[in-house]
Amino acid sequence: MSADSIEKEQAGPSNSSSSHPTGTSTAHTPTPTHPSDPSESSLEAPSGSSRAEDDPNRSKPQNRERKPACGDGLKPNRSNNNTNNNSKGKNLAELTSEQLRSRITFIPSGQQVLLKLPSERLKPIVLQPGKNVSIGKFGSFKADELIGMPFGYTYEIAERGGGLSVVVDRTLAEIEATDATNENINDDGDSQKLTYVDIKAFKDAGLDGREIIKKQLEMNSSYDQRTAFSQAKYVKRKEQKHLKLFTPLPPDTMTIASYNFEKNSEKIRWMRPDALSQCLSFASIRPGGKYLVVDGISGLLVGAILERLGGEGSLIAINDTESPPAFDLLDQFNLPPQLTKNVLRTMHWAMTEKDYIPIFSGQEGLETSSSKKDKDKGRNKKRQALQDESARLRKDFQAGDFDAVIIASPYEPFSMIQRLRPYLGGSANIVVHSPYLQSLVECHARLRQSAEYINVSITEPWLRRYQVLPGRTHPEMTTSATAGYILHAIRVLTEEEALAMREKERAKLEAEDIQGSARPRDGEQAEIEAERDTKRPKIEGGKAEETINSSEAIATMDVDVASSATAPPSS
Amino acid sequence: MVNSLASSSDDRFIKAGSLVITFIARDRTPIPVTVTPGEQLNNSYGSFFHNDMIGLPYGSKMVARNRRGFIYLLRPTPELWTISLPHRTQILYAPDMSFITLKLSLSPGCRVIEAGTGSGSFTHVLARTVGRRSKNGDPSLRTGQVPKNWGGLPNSIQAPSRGTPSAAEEEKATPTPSGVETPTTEADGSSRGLQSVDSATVPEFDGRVWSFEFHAGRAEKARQELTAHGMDDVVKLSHRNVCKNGFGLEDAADAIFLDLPAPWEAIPHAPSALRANSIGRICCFSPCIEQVLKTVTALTEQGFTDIQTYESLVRTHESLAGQGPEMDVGDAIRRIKEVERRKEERRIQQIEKTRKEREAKEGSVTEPKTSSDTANFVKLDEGGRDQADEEPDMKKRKRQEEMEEVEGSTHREAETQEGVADDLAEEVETGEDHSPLTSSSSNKPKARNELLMTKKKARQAILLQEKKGNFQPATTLSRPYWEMRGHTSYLTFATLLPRDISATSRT
Repeated sequence: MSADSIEKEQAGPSNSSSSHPTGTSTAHTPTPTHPSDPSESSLEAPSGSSRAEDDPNRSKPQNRERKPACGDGLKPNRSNNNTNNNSKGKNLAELTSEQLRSRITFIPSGQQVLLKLPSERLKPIVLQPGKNVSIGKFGSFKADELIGMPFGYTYEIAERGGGLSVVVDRTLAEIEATDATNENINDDGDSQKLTYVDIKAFKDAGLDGREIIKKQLEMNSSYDQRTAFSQAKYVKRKEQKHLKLFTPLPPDTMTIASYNFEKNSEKIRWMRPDALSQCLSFASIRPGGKYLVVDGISGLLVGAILERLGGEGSLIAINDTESPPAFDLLDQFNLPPQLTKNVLRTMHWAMTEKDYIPIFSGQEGLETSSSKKDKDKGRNKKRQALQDESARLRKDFQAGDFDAVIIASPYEPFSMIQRLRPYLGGSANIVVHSPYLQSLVECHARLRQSAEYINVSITEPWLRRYQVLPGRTHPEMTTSATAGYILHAIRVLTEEEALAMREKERAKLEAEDIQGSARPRDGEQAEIEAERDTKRPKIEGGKAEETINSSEAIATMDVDVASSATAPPSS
Repeated sequence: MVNSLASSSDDRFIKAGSLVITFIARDRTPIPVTVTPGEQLNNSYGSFFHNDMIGLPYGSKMVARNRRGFIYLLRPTPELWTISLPHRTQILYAPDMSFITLKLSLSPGCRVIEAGTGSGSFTHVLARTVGRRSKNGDPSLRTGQVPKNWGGLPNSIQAPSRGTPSAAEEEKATPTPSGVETPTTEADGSSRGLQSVDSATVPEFDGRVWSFEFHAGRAEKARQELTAHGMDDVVKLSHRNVCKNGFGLEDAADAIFLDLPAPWEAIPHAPSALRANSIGRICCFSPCIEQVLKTVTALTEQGFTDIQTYESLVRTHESLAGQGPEMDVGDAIRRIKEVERRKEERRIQQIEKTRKEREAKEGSVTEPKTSSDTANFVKLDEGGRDQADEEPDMKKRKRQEEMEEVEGSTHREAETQEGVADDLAEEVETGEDHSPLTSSSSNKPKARNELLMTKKKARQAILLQEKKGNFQPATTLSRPYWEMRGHTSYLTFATLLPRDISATSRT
């Protein structure tokens, strides 16, 4: 699991203490503890038992009782879920917080799960109820043994029979320090007396991983001379080689970001998880917000934002191809439709242009409508729906007032920011991640020159892990050298823009007021005006008057425009 | 006029009672201001009347009435609040807060414990992350909250050191709502949240932050702030010493964050507060490595695994637009040669001149006395003229050098183009394309690019360009700030595996 957990020990029910994670082994009949699939939002057909246990007010005794009930409640729910998945997703019932959370706490059925193998490789599998799952040379096991189990445990596939058992890590801190030194250990590779051929023979004879490791330890002449610490490391190395261990990983942003950083760093433009977390913070992602994202990193950014939105708000992803982007890492997040369907929409860069005309020429539609074939009609309907959707999307985009834009893309950052600026609200955050300092530096310089951006900064996250053990505390030997760089700026409105917006809003409100009850407001206004006048600094009175007048002139000009236009765009 | 705007329902606009973060300058700490009719903000840039702020959109540039200076009115975010808030304790900064949020795997709907509250900066981040938006139109359904715009405390309470009223008010801070829209009355109710048991129930569509603070004054202040900011439903704040009394929560939280002087005293209470049926996460925040060791020992004793300790820092980079492009060293060589050449020329001229003068003198031997005098005079005169000429000369030389520089650079460009002169027009075009600071919009699709339909082909074209070696000198250089925000604390993370799964036998 990690570097400071080395020795795996077979934990039986016997060594389970009250607070210790009891390494309870699960065999052929695990009891799933939770309705595992967050996409089953079917509130209309709740299974009573699972509802009850979702109740956060439950006390501990109830908690104990509920397990069998839960196992029962699982199956009807699941079948329900399958039918649900096929629905359009328009009227998805809102998820409770328990349902939201179950995505990252319980192993789901029928969805992709990432297994971490001893080689640190990730293996995506899908657990289908009643089916066997094969993970290559590691063997196979029954899917039911994992479905509904909480994330967190490491499992071992038994050599014979294929049952699963939970393996509990023992941390390095528990290892007693000894007096041993490496004084007499020679690094000549002669310590291990067993050869590859011997080990192969053991395997062929049907010895399991643990037995082989035991033999290797016996035949290693220097093992006893090592420090306990070093022994533990040695055992861990051998276990990784010979034991059939795997860990199902929760599909949370941390897990997905860190594994892709290690395995697919180029694909995610070397965005280290801490850099991703800072991008989310700088952008102040919040449920209910409206965001733009330029995700050139296979959907990692989109997935992380969607998780933070929790199904509320709006996210428009802008991509650089005419067809929707693949976002293949997005699948790893296992997001239920409630978190994606009515939240995420994609459009391409050409659609950001005001004068862009989508190639949905109506001619074709007219032509086929006369040919009256049902098939064509259906196709036309689809086409029309697509067209409507695209028009709605462009309208929403052009309404603007987005709270932030987050960019991780190979295109030149300033060109992207300038194009999106008109659609960002006042005080909107602009966040750009890049593995290249140079491109951000040039963008930084240009943003600093502009009056429309403030607080422009480039930061470089720096992260170092420490080994903390009594007497052996030190920073890790190797540390990732770079997380990439993050440019952050806040979009501001010029005085003219701000005053024009205020006048427009004022005109709108006054129009509404007139329509409604005509309240006597003039008196109040005069009062405020008078107050203003007295507060105006006397010395520069003339000057101030003049400037205010000029700004009001600008404002009134806009009111004319505004009043002639239709309702102003609002969120 | 102002009044009609004060009631605007459009969330783009600042209203009476809104909290704005006033951004003054890059090197000045932003100041939180609660927009209060009749009040004004004074600083060296001028006076800014709150009445004038009402109705402006968030993010506005606001110019003082005397036109001397301006400020920006920003919408508060937990990050802006963090850098502007009135410090009561050492606070967490954005990089740490972001990383902790990620490592604790927090998202909307999660339940998290925080102890202690301190200045409340991380509390805001947690609230934003685990809170869920309250439903418009159906507030009965949902109470969770993540406000887009925040209300604020009266300015006299919010930042007494910065405001005009007396600082004595700070301690017994009882908010006096004066036309502030956000209800702050509840904040002084001492009964609120202190028992912490009543807050253990969380509505099923909500997230929850349980925040604990053992200092009564700080707890009260933070509660007032959170209430004013509109986060009092998602955050339940208790005045409680968790080391002595535990969290008062059973099987309730997904994660725990401990920012305490002695986190190991609170850790024994952690396992029971975390949910039993799923993975529990903890983060302990301690500035000293000795504390970390004690923490790690306590975590191990309590059954936590996967213990990891991190330190996080941030380096800030500055762009320097005026520093580039750096000159080719050939320029220096050319300059040296030129100066040397001119020096030599002058020396020869000088020799020539003196020779001529000497010849002239030798021609009139009749008056030797005066000749030596005139010679002296001439010399003096010459020296004087030399000196007088010195300055215009220098200027001239400088101008000349500048011109040469321009020539030199064009010369250089020509050189680089020599090798690839096959298509000069294209080179010029791409040169424009690559130079990042050209004012012309580089957004126009280039003619040659129109043919490149696929990204792959476009990429290949760029690679080809690279091979041709068409490198442009950087016009903007970068340099890290000379100092980076120092170490604040070590972050120690650990997980507690689910304990509530049925025991079965192993084959």
